[in-house]
Amino acid sequence: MIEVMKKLYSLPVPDELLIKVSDNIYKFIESSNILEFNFEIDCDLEE
Amino acid sequence: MIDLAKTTIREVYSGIRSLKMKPTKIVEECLKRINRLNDNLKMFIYVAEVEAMQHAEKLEKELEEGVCRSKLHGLPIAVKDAFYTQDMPTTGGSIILRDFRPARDAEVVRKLRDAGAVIIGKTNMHEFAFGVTNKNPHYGATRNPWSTDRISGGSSGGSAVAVSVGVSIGGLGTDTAGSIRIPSALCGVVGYKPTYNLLSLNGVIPLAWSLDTAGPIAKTVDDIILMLNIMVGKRLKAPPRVKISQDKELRVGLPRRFIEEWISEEVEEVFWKSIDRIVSGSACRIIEVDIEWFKPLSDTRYIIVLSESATFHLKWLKNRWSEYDPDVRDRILGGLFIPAPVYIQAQKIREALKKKFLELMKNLDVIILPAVPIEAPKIEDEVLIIKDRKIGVRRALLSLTEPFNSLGSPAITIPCGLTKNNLPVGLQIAAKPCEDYILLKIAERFEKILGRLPEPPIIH
Repeated sequence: MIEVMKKLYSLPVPDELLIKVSDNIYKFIESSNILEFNFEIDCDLEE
Repeated sequence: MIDLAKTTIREVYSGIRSLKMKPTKIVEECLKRINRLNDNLKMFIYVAEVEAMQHAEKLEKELEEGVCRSKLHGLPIAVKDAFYTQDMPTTGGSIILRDFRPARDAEVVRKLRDAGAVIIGKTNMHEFAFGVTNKNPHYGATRNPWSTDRISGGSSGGSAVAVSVGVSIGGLGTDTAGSIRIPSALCGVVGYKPTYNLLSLNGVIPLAWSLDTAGPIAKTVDDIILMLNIMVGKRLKAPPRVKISQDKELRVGLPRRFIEEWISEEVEEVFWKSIDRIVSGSACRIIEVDIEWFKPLSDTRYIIVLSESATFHLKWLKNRWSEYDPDVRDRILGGLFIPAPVYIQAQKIREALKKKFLELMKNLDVIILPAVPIEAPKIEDEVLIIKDRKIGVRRALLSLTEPFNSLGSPAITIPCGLTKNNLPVGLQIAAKPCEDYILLKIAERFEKILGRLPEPPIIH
C-alpha cells in the first residue's frame, strides 16, 4: 500500500512517516462511524 | 491623536472627511505601535512601512481635492497572509511560499483598496491556515494581547490581534472551521464568517475549497457591515418580506446540552450572564434546541479538510515536504490516505445535515452559543482539563465553530465579557445560509446590550 502511494504520488517521504500517518487515518475513520451513518435514522431522510 | 483601538470606522470617517484627521498621520501612528508591539505579539509577517505610507499620501491628496472613495478612505486594514497582494509577499505562513510575490491582488483586497483602504501589512497565521492556535514555527507564535503567555487563536490570529491593539481599523481573515471566529473571540473583537460563497476566494490560498470562507474582523458589528458591503460590492439587504425592527420578538435557539458538553467553568459564568442580559434587555424568546445531531459534522469536516488540502498540497509534498511544520505536514499527508468513498460519504452526510438544519431554523431567527468554550490557552498547552475531562486544545477550540462551516451558514462572534482572569469571551450567533443581513442586524442588537470591552492592557 505504502509503495503504491509513493509511486502514484511520486512521494520522497520516508516509509515510517507514511506508515504513521496512514495508521492514524485508518484509526480515525474506524472510530468515526462515517461509513455506518444511517441517513434514515440519523436524519429522518429517505435516501 | 486618535487611537484606533477605541474608535469605529464611522467615528474616524467624519474626521477624515472634514480633513481634521489625515491618513498619513493615522498610518504613521499605526506603524509606530506595530514597531513597539510586533516583536512581542508576532502579529505581522510583513509590515508595509513604505507601501502603506505612499498609499496614504496618495489618498490624502485625493481628500484635499475633494475625493472621498468610501468610509474606509485612508484607513489601515491588516490582511491575513493567505490573501494575494501584488506589492507585498504572500507566504501563507509558510517557508515554501516565502518568496511568492503574486502578480495581482485577491479580489476582496482589490475591492478594499479601490474603496480607499490602506493595507498596513500581512498578518501572521497558522501555516497554510491548517490549525487554530497560530503557533507558527517559521514566524513565531502570535500572542494574545490580553495575556501574552497565551495564544491568540488562529488561523487568522494576526489579523484579530492587529484589530484588538488598534494598529488597523479592520482585518481580513479566512475561516474553514472557525479561523476567524476563534481568534476574534479570544482577542475580544468581532469576527464574521459569512455564508459560504458570499465573498470571493479568488486570489486566496485555499485550505479546503468546499468549506473555506473569507471574512472581516473589526471592533463593532457596524464596522463589519461596512467592510462586508465593500467586499461584496453592494449593500446587503433584508430578504423580501422580512422585517427586523427593534421591537420584533426574536426567536433565539439555545442548544444548552451541546454547550454544556464543552463549556469550561471560566467561560460558563460569563456566557450565561450574557444570555440573561440579552433576555432582559431585548424582546427575545429563548427556545431550547437539541443539536446533538451536529456531532457527525466534526468528523466529516476533518475528512473533508484533509482530503481537499492534500489535493492542493500534492505539488509541494513531492519535493518540499521537509519544509512544512511537521504537525501540519502529517495532517496533509494523512489526506492522501482517505479513500474516495469516505470523502464522498462525508459530503453526503454534510448535505443531509444541512437539510435537517434548515428544518430546525424554520422556527428560529438565530442560534446562540459561545464561540469558544475555553479561555485562551497558554502557549505551551496541548491538552486541557474541562470539568474533569481531558480534551486536546485543538478539539476544544474548534468544537463550537466548525459545524457552521459544514452547514455553509453565516456566524459571528461578538465580545460578551471578561473571565476572572481578565480574558475575553465571545458570543457566537449563527443563522441559516444567505441570512447574513438578518444575522448582522440581530448581532447589532445584542452588541448594544452587551457593550464593548475595554482595550487590552498591553497597548498602554
